[in-house]
Amino acid sequence: MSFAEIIGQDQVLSLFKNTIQNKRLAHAYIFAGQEGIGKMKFAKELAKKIFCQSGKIDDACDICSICKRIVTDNFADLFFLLPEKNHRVIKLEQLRHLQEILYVKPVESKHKIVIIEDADKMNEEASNCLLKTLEEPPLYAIILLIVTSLESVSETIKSRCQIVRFSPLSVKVVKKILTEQFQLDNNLAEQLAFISSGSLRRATMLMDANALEKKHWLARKLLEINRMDNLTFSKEVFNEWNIQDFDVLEEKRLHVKELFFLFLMFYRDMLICKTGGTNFLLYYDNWKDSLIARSKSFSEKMLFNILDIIKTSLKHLDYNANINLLIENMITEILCVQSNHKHFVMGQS
Amino acid sequence: MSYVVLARRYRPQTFSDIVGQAPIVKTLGNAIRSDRVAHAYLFAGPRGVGKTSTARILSKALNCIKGPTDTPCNVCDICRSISEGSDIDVLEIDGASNRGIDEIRNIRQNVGFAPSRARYRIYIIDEVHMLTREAFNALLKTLEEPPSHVKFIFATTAVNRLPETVQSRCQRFDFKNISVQGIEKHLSEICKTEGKEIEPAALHTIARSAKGGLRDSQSVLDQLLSFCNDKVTSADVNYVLGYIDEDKIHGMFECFVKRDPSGSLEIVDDILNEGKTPMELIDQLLLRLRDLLVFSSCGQDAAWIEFDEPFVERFGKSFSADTLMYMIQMLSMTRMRSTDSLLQRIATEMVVIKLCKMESLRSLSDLVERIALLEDKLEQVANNPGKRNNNDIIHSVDSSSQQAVMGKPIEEGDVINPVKEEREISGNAIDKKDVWEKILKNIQHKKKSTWALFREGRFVSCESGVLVVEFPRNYSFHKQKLDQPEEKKIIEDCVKEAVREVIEVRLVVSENGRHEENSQGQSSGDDGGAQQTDDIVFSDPAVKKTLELFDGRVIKVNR
Repeated sequence: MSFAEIIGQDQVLSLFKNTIQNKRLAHAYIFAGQEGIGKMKFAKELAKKIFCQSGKIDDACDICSICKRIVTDNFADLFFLLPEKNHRVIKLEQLRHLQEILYVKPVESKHKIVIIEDADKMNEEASNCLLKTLEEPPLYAIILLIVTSLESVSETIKSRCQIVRFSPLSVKVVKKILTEQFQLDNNLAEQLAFISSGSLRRATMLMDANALEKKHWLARKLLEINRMDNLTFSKEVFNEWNIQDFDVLEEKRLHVKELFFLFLMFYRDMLICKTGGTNFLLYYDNWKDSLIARSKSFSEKMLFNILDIIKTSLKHLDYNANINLLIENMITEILCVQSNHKHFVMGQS
Repeated sequence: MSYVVLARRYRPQTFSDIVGQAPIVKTLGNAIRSDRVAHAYLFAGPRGVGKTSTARILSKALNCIKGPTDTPCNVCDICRSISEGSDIDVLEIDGASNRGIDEIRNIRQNVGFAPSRARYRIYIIDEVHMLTREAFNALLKTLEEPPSHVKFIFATTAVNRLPETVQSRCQRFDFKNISVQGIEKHLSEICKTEGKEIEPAALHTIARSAKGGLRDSQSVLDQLLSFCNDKVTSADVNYVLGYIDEDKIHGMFECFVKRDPSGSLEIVDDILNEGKTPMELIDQLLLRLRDLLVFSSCGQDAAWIEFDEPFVERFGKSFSADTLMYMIQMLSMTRMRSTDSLLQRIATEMVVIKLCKMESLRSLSDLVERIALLEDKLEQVANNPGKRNNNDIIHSVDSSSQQAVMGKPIEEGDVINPVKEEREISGNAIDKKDVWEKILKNIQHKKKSTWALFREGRFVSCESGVLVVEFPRNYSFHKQKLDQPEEKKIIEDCVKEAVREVIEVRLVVSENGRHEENSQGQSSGDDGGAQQTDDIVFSDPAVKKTLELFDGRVIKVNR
């Protein structure tokens, strides 16, 4: 592993290559971008490059003892900070500990690098605590903050860092990684890449969860949904997704989130078909014709309503709502919107 | 030696270096010259405008070997060690990391000791808003009357979180956001000393993006200088800031005007494939809409805004002010905190489609005018019912309402039963509703609790001096309460006040619909219910007015 193996983040890569060449490496960076697009991996590679002793100009050697130890997380001058297990936030104590570490001089090299993962999950005390350190750390220190969204990082922190934006991976890149590293066949990889929306982590998760089959199942069901009763359908969804099999709440939540996303994509596709944009990327590309046909019985307003319902459900999912109820509720509401429309049509004719 | 970022290297070292805080600099300089330096200062203001720097310069000014002077030498041992943050008499404390009462007690203990080599012992507490409540309170006494050799300087971005007791003991200075011109000038000076070239337009974009924080702009510039080898261009700036190209934003507006959803979706797709975030797109659309809104309400006079001339010229007339408001509302509703890119994408697509499909909104005042016009016409019709076959009125009312007006005139006798009933009752010059309201009002004045119970009832009839009030089936509690002698007396008094000929008030509870008919079984009950709805319908002011206006009659009431 080295810079050469970073795929799909060419701009970021050239930015850092130039920066290192010009010897203008700043002491604080924010790596921002959605999940699963290689921010963490890049941070590690960057650390490797900075620490590497081989003297290669624009890459790490990958064979010296330091590089090897970084790969196995055994290098003393590289420190990771992330939320403690089963906690949603990074706490003040962790930051205090970090400061102690930071003010101890590096052991083996000229630098000391701290990578704060999920830095947008620092609570208020923690992020304030970081401010002074972030502004004027010891000269040997480099602090990398990794965040999924800049929105939740406070202005005071942003102003002290250089912000590096990571872009989502293109379908091509995700497909390439899936076929090369996971030995998927071309067609499957492409479909997964489509619904992964540029995140490799999501793509692999979907792969593990057999998401494609479920997606097709859902599309089939949703297309004929008017013949079904809401609770029966909810039950079928429960069974198909094995929702009761999850013991850990976080896992269950993630799983259900993907389910909701499938719903969201379906109705979004229908909206796109409805507005006539048939040459756009559709998540349910195989169902294009049925989608177009089906979209005729929907008004745009209904589709907006349905999408709003799903969006609200997604929000409630984060608020710790009862998951089973949430699914039933969402399906019922969607069906309500659909059937209301039918009355409307009947009333007109 | 590692690289030190611009923001640290170009930290102001004298009062004259400070950008954009002239009044504060002047006040502090005068205070030092006239030897009127307070013992506690509070520096408040947004990020990156110079609070910490000013605090350091102030302590240098006070402690400099040649001082106290408003131009610290920056070469003496003390000045240098303060700049490095290692002086023993100037203690810079991170308020967010040392926020407990124990740390503050520590300060209190050490306050008594004289400074070791300089004139003053200065405590700079940065991010002071993060101190705990106990810590603040522990500080109060010391802060009010510290020894003469002690100075406190507090710096914070959230001054509202300081207790008032602390604020009142300090001299407070509010640091302002730095103007775009100020930032631009400063940055171009940095570029000159660094020996780098930068496009003026790029410089301007950086300065604007910083939103008043000098450090923000320095961070951005630093990043740009670090990867641009020769000249910094606008494209580089857009990349670093994650901005979206002007053409795309213009194209988006073009789609809104042309009502072209698929075109706008294409642009969204393009933007996202470049790695820009949907939120950035929404932000920039919002900025543009705001420009248009200001332009449409103030015209070119709005000197405080820099208009993007071609943009405003092109779209300035395309949207009405209300449409712009609506668009802004839609977009800001889409701006959510969700971090998920898929959700953001779909939300953005939705809003873009909505904006392309929206009808152009008429302005509210326009609508009000139209309603007023309509009302006038209606009044005309109502005032001259005889004239309703007149041409001018027919012209003035549109075709659908024409039919209603043209309905055949109805004789008094034709009015069907319910209306007749009402007429009979009001034959006695007693209008049911009026009387009822009058009674209620009287009772309300006398005793509120009685009124609260009584108003649940319904005026049924008033014949030969007996006034009957009916309560719904499940309100028997009300009746019982009101049947108590003292309550009853109040009610009767009030009723008599309203209607003189009443001798007795009778309260009944309807069992199955209407009162007194409960023994007649199910069917009559239903009937009674029907009657009740009819009554409600006929007493509805809108229905009355309609009947009166069009001289109409009721044919059927749908339940």
